[in-house]
Amino acid sequence: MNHTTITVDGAFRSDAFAHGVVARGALLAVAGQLALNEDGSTYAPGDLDAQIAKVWRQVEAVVRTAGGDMGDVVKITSFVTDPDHIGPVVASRAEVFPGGQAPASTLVVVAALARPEFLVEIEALAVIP
Amino acid sequence: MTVIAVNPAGVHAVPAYSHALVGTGTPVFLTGQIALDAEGRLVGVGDPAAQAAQVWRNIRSIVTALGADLTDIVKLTTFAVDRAHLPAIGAERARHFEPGRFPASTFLLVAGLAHPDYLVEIEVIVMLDDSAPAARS
Repeated sequence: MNHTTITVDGAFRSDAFAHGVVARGALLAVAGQLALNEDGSTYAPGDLDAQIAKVWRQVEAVVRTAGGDMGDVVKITSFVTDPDHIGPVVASRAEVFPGGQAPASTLVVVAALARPEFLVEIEALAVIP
Repeated sequence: MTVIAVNPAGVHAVPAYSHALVGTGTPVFLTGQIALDAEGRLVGVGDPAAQAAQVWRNIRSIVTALGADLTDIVKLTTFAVDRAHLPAIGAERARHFEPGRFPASTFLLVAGLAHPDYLVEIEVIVMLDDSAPAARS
């Protein structure tokens, strides 16, 4: 990781996200990841925690296949279908990005995702040095 | 510009998008496009296919003006208001990309867009080759 994390005074600070991140390198755009089995069926319908874990594994697989690691992620956007899902997603983010290395982050509650069984979708931008 | 598609083993491969694209150059973030023509009139009231087609005309115009083309798009985010519109929106998107060269993609259903008649909004990230005029300016 060769990123500079930006934090500013006058805005709430948290180890769970950065206010901004400056990075140089190749931009990696990671598609919104969903809880899909390899055969395209829905993974763990109705199980939020399992879907969150599956989605993060896939984000990491994509970043690693591109030659980076999770420290290269500069921005994530998380979409959930219910405000009750916010807490578990925020908790998972802190586990995935420990020790104050969290990227810039946006979390959105949407009306629905592509299938009714999907509870969470997470996309990421990474910059690979 | 060099753009590399990333589709790792262990993540379900979807024909209509890549799991990730890596590109070098200058990233450009476009405003979400809706189905307005050059005079600001909505094209395709109640018709998701017609709206999607206009959205892609707008995206193509902007990308072309940047000195790039649609193959330089690395990421799409599609906002729709009705799940029933997904096939029409997907079919229009498929018209603009070669198989195996789809951008990374996110599809969302939202409670509403800026106007009640808007059915679809698409925003894109484009990587400009550093030789493109807009990247040098």
